[in-house]
Amino acid sequence: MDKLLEVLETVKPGVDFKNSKDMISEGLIDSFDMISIIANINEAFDIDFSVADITPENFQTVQSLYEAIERIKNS
Amino acid sequence: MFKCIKDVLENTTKKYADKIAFLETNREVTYKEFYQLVNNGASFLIQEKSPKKIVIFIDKSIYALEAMFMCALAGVLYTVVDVTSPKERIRLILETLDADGIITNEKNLEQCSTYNLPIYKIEEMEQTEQNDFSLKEVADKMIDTDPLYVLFTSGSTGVPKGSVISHRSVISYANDIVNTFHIDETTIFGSQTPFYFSMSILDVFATILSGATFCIIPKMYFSFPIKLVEFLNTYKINTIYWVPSALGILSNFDVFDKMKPEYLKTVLFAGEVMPVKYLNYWRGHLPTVLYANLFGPTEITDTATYYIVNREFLDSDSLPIGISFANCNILVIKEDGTEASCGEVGELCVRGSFVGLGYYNNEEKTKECFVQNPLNKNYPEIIYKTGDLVKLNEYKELVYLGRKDFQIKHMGYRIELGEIESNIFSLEGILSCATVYDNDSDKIILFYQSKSLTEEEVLGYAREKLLNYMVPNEVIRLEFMPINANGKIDRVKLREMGGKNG
Repeated sequence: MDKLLEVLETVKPGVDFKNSKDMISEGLIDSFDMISIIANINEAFDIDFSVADITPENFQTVQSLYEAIERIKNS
Repeated sequence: MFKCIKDVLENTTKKYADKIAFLETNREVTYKEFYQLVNNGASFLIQEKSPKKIVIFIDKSIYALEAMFMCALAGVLYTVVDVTSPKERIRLILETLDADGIITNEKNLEQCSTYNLPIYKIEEMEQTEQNDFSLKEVADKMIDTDPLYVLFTSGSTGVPKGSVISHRSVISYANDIVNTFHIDETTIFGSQTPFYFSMSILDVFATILSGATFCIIPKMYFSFPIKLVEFLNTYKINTIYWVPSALGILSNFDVFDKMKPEYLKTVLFAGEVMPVKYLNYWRGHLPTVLYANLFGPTEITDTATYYIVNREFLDSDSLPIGISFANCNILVIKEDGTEASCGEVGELCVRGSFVGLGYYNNEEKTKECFVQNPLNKNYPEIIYKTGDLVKLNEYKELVYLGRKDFQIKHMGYRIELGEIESNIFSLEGILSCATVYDNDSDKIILFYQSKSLTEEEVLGYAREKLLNYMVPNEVIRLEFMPINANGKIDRVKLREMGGKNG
């Protein structure tokens, strides 16, 4: 979880991801950030986030994103 | 020939009364319905002590479109602003424009109340009774060179510059777009760009001129590539005019491997340099689509040139910006004021009806860029100097080489680095600051010198004061600002340092 927060922090420094209830609708992540976020997650967790995993549900909160990463890792 | 935007809308409404004009996720309006709402609202504005200049403060929606056309019919000059702008910037725009009022909707009412101006609610305006007499009176007095809207872009002194665009410019531009790209009543636009961005002029007014349908794609879809393609298919979108970064979202995630847009026929792009890598991906998967690269600034309505992709390019090539539209003429002028010959570098200058009327309430800036045609000594003829350096290639196509000054393009937005700097400089404790733009990583990097302020504090301040797309991607604190031989901040050195860091 901390590792994920770190990744998000690198892409968008100074943004409070931790307490967000909806990272997309609150404007924390916009479409242009998405590409770098996915690339950084793939590298940090050594996974392959496929386009089918890029859903509003997975990107709602840090928690849901973390769970998605775990799922992809174990699949 | 149409005189004003009112004539365009009226004519199309007669022809396509029951066709959907505008569509968003929860709402759609036919031309007839839209025209009625717009006439109601225009009647409201005329009765309302006739405001002359209005700021539209509404999110991208059919409401915002209604407000624009209400103003157009009432002879009121409008400007659309970004509702997420910092208050400070809105205040500067209201000041520069000396606005008489704000049109907003229920949702944004509270945000608008701080500006101490009359507020007109779109929900009420829509319900006003149409007053044919006063509408006709206003329409009879209107001429095609009357201003339609002002569009604010970033200015180097920190004060936004407002380009004033006439009915004639918009009609002339829309006409060329419709003819060049065969836009007609079967066209369904999938709109990506915000209404405070000049690119939206193309989709909105080409729609109105041709009887097409304009579909607003909610911003959130651009974060979820599969959903975006599903959206394009659900609404049968066949024409898009997006910034390259938006097209890049689909190519970066290799979405077409999973799902393809089934109805797309025309893909237009502008706003920043199109990476050929993206284009090649699109062409590989959707080979029958027409692709065109458009180029031009806000000051001349939207774009002046276009290049319809007609040959192969390597990923490392850059796309030409092509040739001028039919009713637009390009001059490539060298430093000495003479015309560049084929292969020679010069400044792109625009001649003709697309050219705007100047900057609102800014004579100095207007005189710098809207100038007498240096090739014509015989009668007054104003051309616009874009500040872009171009040359002709062996195909007689224009090729973009770069900016003459410090203005940059970032995520499709024009930014004067000076505006970022002057804002940051206003923070107490900043001794010196400079921003550079790293082309390779597409990053704005801010360097500053301060005894007390941490990088986080400066970044936090930047977020508060600046528009989202102007916020530096990186903030670097320096012990000393590098200075060049002329005693100025050494930007070349900074760019090197930024490149290493990014």
